[in-house]
Amino acid sequence: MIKACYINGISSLSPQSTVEEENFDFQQIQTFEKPVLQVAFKGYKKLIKPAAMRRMSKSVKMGVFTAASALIDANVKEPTSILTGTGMGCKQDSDIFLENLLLQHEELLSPSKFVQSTHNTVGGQVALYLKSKAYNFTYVQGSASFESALLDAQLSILTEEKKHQILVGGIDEISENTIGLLQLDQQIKSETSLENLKLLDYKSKGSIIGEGAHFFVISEEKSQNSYAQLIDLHLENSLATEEVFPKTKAFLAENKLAIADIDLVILGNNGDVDFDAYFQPLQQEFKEIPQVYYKHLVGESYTASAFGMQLGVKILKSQHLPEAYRLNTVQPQKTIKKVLLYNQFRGKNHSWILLEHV
Amino acid sequence: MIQRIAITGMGIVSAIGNNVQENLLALAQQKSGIGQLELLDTIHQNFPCGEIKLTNTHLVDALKVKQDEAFTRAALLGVKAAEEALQQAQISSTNKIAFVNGTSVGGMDYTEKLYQDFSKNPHTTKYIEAQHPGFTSDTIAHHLAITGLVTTVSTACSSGANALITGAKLLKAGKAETVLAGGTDCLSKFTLNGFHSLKILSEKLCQPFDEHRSGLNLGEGAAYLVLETEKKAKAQNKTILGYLDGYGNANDAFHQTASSATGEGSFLAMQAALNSAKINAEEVSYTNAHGTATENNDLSEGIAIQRIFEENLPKISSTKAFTGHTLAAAGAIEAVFSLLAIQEQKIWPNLNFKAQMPELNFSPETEIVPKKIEKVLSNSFGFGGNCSSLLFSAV
Repeated sequence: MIKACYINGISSLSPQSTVEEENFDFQQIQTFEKPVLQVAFKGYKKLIKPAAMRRMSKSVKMGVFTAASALIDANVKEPTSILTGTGMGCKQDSDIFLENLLLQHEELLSPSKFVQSTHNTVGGQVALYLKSKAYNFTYVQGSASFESALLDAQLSILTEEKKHQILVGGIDEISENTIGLLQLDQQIKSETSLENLKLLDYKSKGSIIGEGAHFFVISEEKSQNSYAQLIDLHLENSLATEEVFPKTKAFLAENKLAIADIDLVILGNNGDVDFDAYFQPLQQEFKEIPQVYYKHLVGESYTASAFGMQLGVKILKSQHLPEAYRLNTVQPQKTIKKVLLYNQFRGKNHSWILLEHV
Repeated sequence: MIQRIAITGMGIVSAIGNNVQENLLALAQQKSGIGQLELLDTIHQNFPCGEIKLTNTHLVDALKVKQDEAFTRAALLGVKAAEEALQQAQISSTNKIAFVNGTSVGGMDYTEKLYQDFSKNPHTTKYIEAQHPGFTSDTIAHHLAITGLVTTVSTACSSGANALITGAKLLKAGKAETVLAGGTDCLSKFTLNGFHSLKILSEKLCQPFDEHRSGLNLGEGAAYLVLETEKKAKAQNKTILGYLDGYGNANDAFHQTASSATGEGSFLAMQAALNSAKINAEEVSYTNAHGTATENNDLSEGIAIQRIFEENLPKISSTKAFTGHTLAAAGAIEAVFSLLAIQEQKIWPNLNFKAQMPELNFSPETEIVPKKIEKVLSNSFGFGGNCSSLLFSAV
C-alpha cells in the first residue's frame, strides 16, 4: 500500500522576506540591482534567545528559526526526524576557518569556526534547540540537496511502521568570502548593473545568487492545516537536454499520470545562457498550462528549489498564481490540482517533485 | 513485504591496504597503518596519521582518470574502493544503480591548496565547485557511469554509516534495485588543524578505551558496499557476504562537538539498530566500537555500551588504531571490517590498549579472538550529536 506524505507545516526565509516578516504574500516584491540577493530578515528573536543567537551563523539562525516556526505552523511539538539538505553547509564559518588557517600558517587557530563548519551543523543545532534526540540526517548533493532530504522523508514514511512528523528543510547561506570565487567560476553574472526581475533577458553566463532556509513538516496523516500532498519525487544525476522530456514522462507514468494531468509547472530557470536549455523542453511541452519560476526573485542556490516547493505548496492551497512569478501568460482553466517542479544546476542533479491539492 | 538487505560486494582503501585482501592481511597480522605523514603538506608533522601512501598522480594513472576532470583525492580514493565493490558484486552495467556517498569535507584538499590562487591560474577554476561535497560524489558517479540517483550524506564522522542506512531504505522502499553506498574522506590541513584546535589529536599512537588515552589519530580512506535485496541477490545466484539487518540513528542533543556523559545518543542509536533487526542485545557477538581514543568519546560510548548490553557484553574492539579516524569513511571502512570479522569468524584486536578505564567494567579485545560470529554491531558517531549504529548478520 502506498502511503501518502502530507505537507502540514511550512516556514520559509528568502530574499523576499522583509526585515520584520519571514512570510510574505507574493504580492509585495523585493527588487535587487546586484547579483547577490541576501536575506534581510532580522526578527529571529521571536523564537531564538539572544544568548543562543550570538554564537549562531546565518545558516544556523535561518535554519533554527524556520524549523521552529514550521513546527508551530503544523502544531507539532516534537518531530520524529530532522532532515536537512544544504549545498554548501555553513560556508561562512568554513571559509573563515580556512582563511585563518592559511593566513596564520596553521598556527594558533581557535576551534569555534571549525566546530560550526560541518555540513550537519544546522541539523545538529535544530536538535539542540528542540532538545530532540530523533533521527537526524543531512544531505549535500548540489542542487539535489533538499530533494535528497525530502526523499529520505518519503523513504521513512514508506519503510517504517510508525507515525511520522518529519521536519525537512533546505538551507544555504551566501559567504561574503567566496563571492569572488563564484564570479571567477562564472556562476554569477558579470553585468555591473542588473535588475533581478529581468533575469532571463540578459542571455549571459551565470545567474544571480541567493540564500535562505525553507522547512516543511511532513506526515502520513492529513491535518487541518495540510497544504498539499507530496505524491512523489525523482532524481537524476546527469542528463542530456533531450532526455529531460522523456524522463519527465516516465516519472509521471510511474505515478499513473500523463502530461495532460498536470495543471502547473514550476521551473528552475536561472538565466544562465549555457544551461537554461534544460528547461526548454518542459516550457515547450507544457505551453498550454500556466508556468511559474522563482530564481529571479530569490536567486540561485543549491537549495533554491526548496523555495520553489513552498511556492507550489502555497499556490495549491491558495489557488492564486502570483503575477511576478509567472513564466508564461496562460491563465488556469480549472482548479490547480497537480503541480510538477523541475530543477537542475549546470546540467547536474536534476530533480522532479510532484505535488497534489488536498 | 519488506526485504532483507544483502551485501554482495565490498571495496576498501585505507592506510592498511589498497583492497579488501590487503586490509584483511593487515588486520590478521595486527599491523597498524598509522605513522609519520609523507604526503600531506602541513606543519603538524608531530601527529601520526593513517595516511594512504599513494599519490594523487599515481591514483589518476592507475584508475585511468581523464586528465581534464577535477578529481579530488576523496574522489580518487572513492573510485578505487567503489570499483572493487562493483567488481565483486558482478555489476557490469552501472546505469541502473543508485549511489549514496558519505563525505565530510569532500574536495577540501583542493580548496585549501588553491583558495588563494584560483584567480591566478585559470586552469584551476574547475576546482571551485569542488568546495561542496556533492561535487566529489558527482565526479565518482561520472567515472563509474552512474547517471541516476546520486546523493551524499554529510553528517561528519557518521556519514559513511548513514549512507549505508539511506541505501538500505532506498531498497526497502523499492526506489532502487542495487545501491552502492559508503564513504570517502582524505586527509586535509582543514581537518587536521580543526581537530588540533580542539586539542583532541594525539602525538602518540591512539589507544582506544585505554585509561591513559590521549586523543585520536586522523586517517583517510574510502569503502563501499554493494547492497541488493536478498531476493534479487539470490535470483542472480550472487554470493551474499552478509546482511545489513538493522540500523539506527539518533541525536545526542547535548553539544555541537562533545558527547553526553550518559551516551544517550549512542545508546538510542544502538537500541534502534537492535530493534530494527528485531534481535535482543545478547545476540550480538561483536561490537566494532566508534572508539576514537578521545577522552570524551570512549567514556560516553563505553557507558552507552554498558547500558545496552548490561550483563551480556559482547566482545568489543575499536579498529581506529589500525586506520586512524577516517571521518566520513569510518562507518563504511568499519562495515567492511565487521563483514570480514563475520567472514573470518574472528574479532579484530583493539591495538595499543594497556589499562582498563576505571569508569568502565569492560576491556576491549587485544588479541585476535576466534569466535562464532553471527551478529556484529558497528558504531559511528559524529559532530552535531550524530550517532549511528549498524547491525550486520552472517549468512
